[in-house]
Amino acid sequence: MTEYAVADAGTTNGVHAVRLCGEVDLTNATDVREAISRIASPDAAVIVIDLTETAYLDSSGIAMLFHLAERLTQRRQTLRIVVPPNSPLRAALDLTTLPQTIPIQPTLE
Amino acid sequence: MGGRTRASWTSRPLRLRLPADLGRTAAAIVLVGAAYYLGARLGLSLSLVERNVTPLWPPSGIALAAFLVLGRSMWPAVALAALAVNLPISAGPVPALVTAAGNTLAPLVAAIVLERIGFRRQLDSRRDALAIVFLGALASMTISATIGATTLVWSKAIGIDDLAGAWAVWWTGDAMGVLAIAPFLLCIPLFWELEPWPAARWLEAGVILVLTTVLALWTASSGLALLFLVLPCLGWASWRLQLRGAAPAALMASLIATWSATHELGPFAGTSLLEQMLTLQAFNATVALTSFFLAALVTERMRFARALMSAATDLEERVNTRTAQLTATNDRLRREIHQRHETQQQLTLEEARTRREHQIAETLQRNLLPDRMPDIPGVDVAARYVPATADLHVGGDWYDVIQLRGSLIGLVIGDVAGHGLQAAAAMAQLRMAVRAYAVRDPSPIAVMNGLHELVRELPMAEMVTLLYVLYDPDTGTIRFTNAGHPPALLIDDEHTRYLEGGLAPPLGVLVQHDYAEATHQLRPGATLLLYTDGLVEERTLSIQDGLDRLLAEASGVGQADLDALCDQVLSTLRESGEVADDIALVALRPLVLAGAPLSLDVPADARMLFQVRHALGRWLRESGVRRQDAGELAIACGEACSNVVRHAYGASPGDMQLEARLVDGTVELTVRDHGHWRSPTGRGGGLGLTLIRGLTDSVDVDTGPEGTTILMRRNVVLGNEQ
Repeated sequence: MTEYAVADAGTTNGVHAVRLCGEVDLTNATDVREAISRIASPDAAVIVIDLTETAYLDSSGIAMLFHLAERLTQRRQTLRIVVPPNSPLRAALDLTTLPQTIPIQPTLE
Repeated sequence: MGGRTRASWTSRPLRLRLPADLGRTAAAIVLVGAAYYLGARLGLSLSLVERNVTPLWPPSGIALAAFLVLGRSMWPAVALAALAVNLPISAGPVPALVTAAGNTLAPLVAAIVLERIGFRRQLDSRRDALAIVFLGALASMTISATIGATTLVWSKAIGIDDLAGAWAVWWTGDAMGVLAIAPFLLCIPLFWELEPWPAARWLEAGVILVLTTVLALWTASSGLALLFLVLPCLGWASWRLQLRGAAPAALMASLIATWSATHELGPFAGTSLLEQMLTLQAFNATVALTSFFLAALVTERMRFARALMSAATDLEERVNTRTAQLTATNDRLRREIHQRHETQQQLTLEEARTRREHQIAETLQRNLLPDRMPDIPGVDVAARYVPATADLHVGGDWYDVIQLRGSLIGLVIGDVAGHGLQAAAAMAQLRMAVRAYAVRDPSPIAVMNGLHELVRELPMAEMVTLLYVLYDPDTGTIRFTNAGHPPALLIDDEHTRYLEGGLAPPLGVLVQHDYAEATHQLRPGATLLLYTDGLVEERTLSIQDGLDRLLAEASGVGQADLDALCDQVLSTLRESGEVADDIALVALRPLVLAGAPLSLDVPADARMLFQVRHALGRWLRESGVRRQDAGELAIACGEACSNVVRHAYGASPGDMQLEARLVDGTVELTVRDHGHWRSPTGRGGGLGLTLIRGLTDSVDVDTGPEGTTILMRRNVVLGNEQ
């Protein structure tokens, strides 16, 4: 896995989620994207990326999410993101066009 | 009696050895008696006044010589002969008997006295010459003179008035007899007792004797008082031939002078009796004293010379012997020195090899230890390694600082038992193993389990102690496990102490061990000091004393700069200057960030982004900035730094500087580089600038030839959220 980010996948209440723990910057954004691609179920219609445990995500990470969304779209899968309201990532994500492309929900539910 | 006499003879080697049989003794007695009688007749024939005054009485000399040479058993011969001499000239048989007794007693007493004082009849020392003159002649002969003169008065041969004169004449006659005759007789045995004369000596003796005789005859018969002319001849004889040459010549001179006086010839003509006596006796005394003293002196001198020569020869022999011994000893010493030199050379080779191994071990160790501490923003790290000064004591001490995933830092201090190359090599393997295990899973228990397995499985004979500490700068937490190593020291203003817990036996000791870890908080400004036992172990101190001393010493220097702290601890604890065992130490201190601007200067490298934003995160947190503000500022700062990393320097290396200030509720972040600003292109780059502007209240970008500075400001909410 990457140096300071860990991704693991699981299904909760029928929802297939990839939990991303740690930090994402330009040093590991590509690795994180590939890791998620690898572990995300190719059969699930909806892939949820859980950023609850993600401590840091900068523009490289946001770009990575755009790329990921594009790729999943090619695979006819839908990407959603979980970001809690008090997360420092929230403001950053809101500054971009990401919320218009990828639905953001506060919890996994 | 006879046995004792023989015994006394054998005890005196120079006494003539007469056969014990009576026949030979009787013959000797007869001979002595005859000689005594003839001597007496000669003496009487030399009388100045017929049968009355005899200036030279040879029998006394003959008797003394006989006693000294043949032994005192000759006394009957002397007594009988004396009686035979005295009977016709005495007033009767009784006076003759008394006089004969006196004549016998005087030389007998003389012989006894001389033997008592150790007289040697060779007359070869001054002492002997003095003894025969004063004791043998002058003193002893008072006996015969007294008895003889008294008998003359008693038998009415002379009147009482003539006693003194008769005594004087008697005494001088006897004394002169001894002086003139005894030495001559005593010298006769010397001819076969001492080394024989060569022909030349005999010739010389003959010439001297003839010359003396001629001179004496001439001077004694001429009218001139030239008697003393014989003295040079006597001197010559004494000097060249000693007693054997001088005694006959002296006797000849005395006899001729006495004969001259008797006949009133030469110097004695027309003088009174008293003058004749005085002149003659003076002459005879002079002759005797001159010859015997000179002879004795010369003999003595020659003996000394011989003794000296013998001593010199002896000395030379001893010197030669000693020299030979010394030469032998010297040779042996040289051989030993040579052997020692060879041994020394071997030792030197051995020593050189040992020193070389020591150098290799030390070089190996130095190269294996991190030569430079990692640059961790917000955290100070310092380390020291002091190799043992004694040869072969470079050991398996090591320290390590490992930057792990996230902002975690692994601190390692370890000690492989043993010294030298082997320990250093084992240390190298273990150091890499710790790194490998820590990268895989940085938790202390995981690292220890891995190492334990490794040490158990691999043939690593040495015992290993290890203290592994995992520090999380974000939370200020330390987690550690201690496998038999001295405890880490937490140096803090309030309570400096050793960190207990997390203890386990040294690695590889037990087959199985469940490792546990302990947790502590490391306050900003506090220092964590890890060290090896060389720092606290000294021959003169117990380990506990060493630990106490380190604690006391460290408490005093807790505020010092970290490098200074390390040096201080080393210098005060190792005052002796001699390092018996290696010392490794590593110290870590989270810097106090709150209350002061944060200033970082790091390479413009993507790998530094993490460190920079975490340092900023700590600063913001410790400054009391709300988590929400802190998180968003971290992203803004990260974007600015990413821009520098990606665009400022291209492929060439450069620096980036971050400054953070808190001014009146506003955080001012400055990110500076010395490269060329390039407008961010692409979605990511543009997105970055968007984030910076969106997450801060104001942004100023100042681009110039010196580089680019981005100043970001954001109002923050302060307050403790915990």
